[in-house]
This record gives sequence, C-alpha cells and structure tokens, in this order.
Amino acid sequence: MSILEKKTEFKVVNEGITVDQIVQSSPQEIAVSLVEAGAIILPSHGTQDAFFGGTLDTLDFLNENKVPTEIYSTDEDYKELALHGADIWLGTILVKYIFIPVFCGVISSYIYDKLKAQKDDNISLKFIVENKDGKTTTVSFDGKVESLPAAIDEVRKISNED
Amino acid sequence: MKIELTRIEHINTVEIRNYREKLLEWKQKAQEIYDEQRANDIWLASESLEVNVLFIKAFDNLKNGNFREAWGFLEGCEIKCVFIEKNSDKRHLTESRVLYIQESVKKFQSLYPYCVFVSPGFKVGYYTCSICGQKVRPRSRCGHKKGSLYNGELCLHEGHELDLMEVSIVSRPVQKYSVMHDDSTLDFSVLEHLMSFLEHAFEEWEYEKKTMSFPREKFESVLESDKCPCRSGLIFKECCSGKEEVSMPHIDFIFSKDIPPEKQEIKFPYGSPKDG
Repeated sequence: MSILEKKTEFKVVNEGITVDQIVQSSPQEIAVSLVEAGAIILPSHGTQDAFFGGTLDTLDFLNENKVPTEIYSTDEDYKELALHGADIWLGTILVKYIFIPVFCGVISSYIYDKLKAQKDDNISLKFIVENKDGKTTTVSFDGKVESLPAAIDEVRKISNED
Repeated sequence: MKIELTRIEHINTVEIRNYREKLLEWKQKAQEIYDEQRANDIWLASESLEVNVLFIKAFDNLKNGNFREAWGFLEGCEIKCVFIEKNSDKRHLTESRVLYIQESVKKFQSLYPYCVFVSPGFKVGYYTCSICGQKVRPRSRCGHKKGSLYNGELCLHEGHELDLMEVSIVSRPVQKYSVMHDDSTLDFSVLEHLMSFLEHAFEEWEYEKKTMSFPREKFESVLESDKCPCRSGLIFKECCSGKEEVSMPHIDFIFSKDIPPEKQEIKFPYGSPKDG
C-alpha cells in the first residue's frame, strides 16, 4: 500500500555525541566497560528511553565477531521496545575509530546473514562514528535494505580519511 | 504404520488422537529421566504433526471461503515452522512436510488482498527465560538460547511490565492476524479461483505473476471514473481508456495434475455491461 511506504532517508551529519560525553554521562558502574568497548549500543532515542527489540542479539553477534560491544544501560535499567511492524530496527550504535573497518563487515554480516534481510525489507539505523580527531559523524539510514550499502560505505570512508 | 493426514476428516481420527496422546506420554517420560535428546526428538515429532493439522485446517477454511479464519491458521503454521526449522535438519523438514507447508503458506499469504494491519508497540520492563525464569539482562544471561530446545521444551522470552506506547498502522506486520480490513469489501476471487482446482492440502501448485493484454472492447463495463484495470492507481479515463489494448496484472496457476480444457479458460474479471 503506497501510502504506508516510507521514503528513504539517508543523512550524513558531521556532528554527534562523542565517546567522552557518553562515558561522562553514564552510570558509574558501567563507565569502565564503555571506555573499553569498541562499539556502544545506545537507547532508541538519545541517551534515555528503551532499546529496540533484538538489541541483545545485536550485542551478542558483535561481541562474538571481534567487535567488543557494550550497552549504554545498567542491567537493572535495561528496557526494550517491542515494535510489531516487521521492519528491522537496528537502533543507534556508536563506533570507535579503530573498530570501524571490522564493524562494517560484522554489521553487514549481521544484517544479511543473521537477520536474513531481504532487499525489499525496511531497515532503520543510526551509526555515530568516531573520527580520527575524536569528534563524531552521524550516519542515519531509514529505507530499503537494497539501498543500505551506501550508508555502510559512508561509515567505512571515515576510517579511510587522513 | 502409515497414518493418512491430508484432509480435514483425518485430523480427528482415532489413529491421530492416539498418536498425539502417545507423543505427550513419551515426552513426559523422557523429561522425567532427563533424556534430553529423546524429549527434543518427541517435541519435534509432535510439533511437526501439529503444523500439518494446522495447515489442513487452513486449507479447509480456504476451500470453504473462510478466508479470515484461514489467514489465522496460516500464520500459526508460519510461526511453528520457524521453531521447527531452528531445531531440525533438512531431511526432517522434507519428510515431515514442514518445508512444503512453509513454502505453501507463503504462496497462499501472497495471494491475499490484505495490505493494512495494526501493530502495537510496547515498552517491556524485562524479559524472563521460559526455561529457568531468570531475567534476561545484557550482562547477566542464563545461557538458554531463545528458540532452542531444552529437555523437550522450547525456550522463549516472556515479557513483563508491558507498557502500551503506540498503535501503528503498517503494511508489514509481525502479528499478521491484526488485519484492519473488512473482508466483505475485499476481492478474494484469485484465491477462490485457485481453491476451485485444489482437492487437498498437499497438492503441488505454483503460480506466476505476469501481465496480459486484452483489447479495449473487453473493458466496456469499466467506467471512465473507475480505477484503471492496469492497477496504475489512476482513473481509467486518465490512463488506458484511449489505448487499443489494456495490460492487466495476471496470474497463471500451474498444477501437476491435468486440468480439463473447460477449466483452462482465462478468467476475465470484467463482464460486458449487458451482463449486469
């Protein structure tokens, strides 16, 4: 039904929350693990609110595939959103600079091999990617899986910049 | 001993009822002595039987024109097949007809006119593991994997402290039963036509979507203000009304059995005005 079809939104913005800001605003009990992580999964809307359903599967897959990943929440505060549209909601992931190349490969494998995303599926994600100078670039994508490679390539480019 | 299970009258036979009871009894015994492999194998046999029963119910409802009921049974099959597939191998999926049912369910669902569904969104306070009851937390897991079998029981995550946040209207739901349509306003003629050829749930059939062109004269019953038969979304006057031919979506059904010539005629949806 065309009225329910979303338009593709793909944005690359040279700003976003930084790793330091995340660590400083985090509960003390998880601060050390956030510093040590290569990627941090953030709640669905900024730094408060719940995490998208499937977040723990994403967390496990990244950790099992050499991207040390943490969740920006204590165990007690952790909540999930159960959204029953069949879109893929990957959420917001902050990626540290040195992990960008391996993250791109692993997240692609997660989407295509683990989730078995089809080209016609809708997917929504936001990657906040750390630049070499510690600032961040936000790559957000909301559209069909078949158009997703462009977003992954934007993330990969950041690790190739001098 | 081979038990027949292809039609609705087979699902409540003495043989099937006895077999179901036996499976339950064997599973309980295996669970009591923690013979996990046997308990899991019996779960698999039991679920595979149940999905066959569900599929036959779906087919029977399709055959009788109870399309909404059939839709519910088809979704039930779809969900069961996911868990069976996760806990078995290709040989079992083939021999138990689960693979056939999975593929058939998709085909039937794709022929439905449903396109709008209700989708609730919840905030879930926490999940617990259905096997051990432990809370599922990012840094504290029980080790049981969702969707896997443990001593004949399927591990699921049960949600607690649910807070309804929204109700959305979607075209692709997870819960397919949340159909928003009034069936009396929809056209099920494609399914009706298919079901007129099928005798039982496990007949082989395929379909191919294509377009087919017809001379403009065949569309005399279509008003200029009606939606164009080519399904462009435009009205006929603004679309194909002035053309010599109109190309419409068309479905070819392919069967493994012979179809009598009189049933092979193309079903054209637009009668002439004199047909009323």
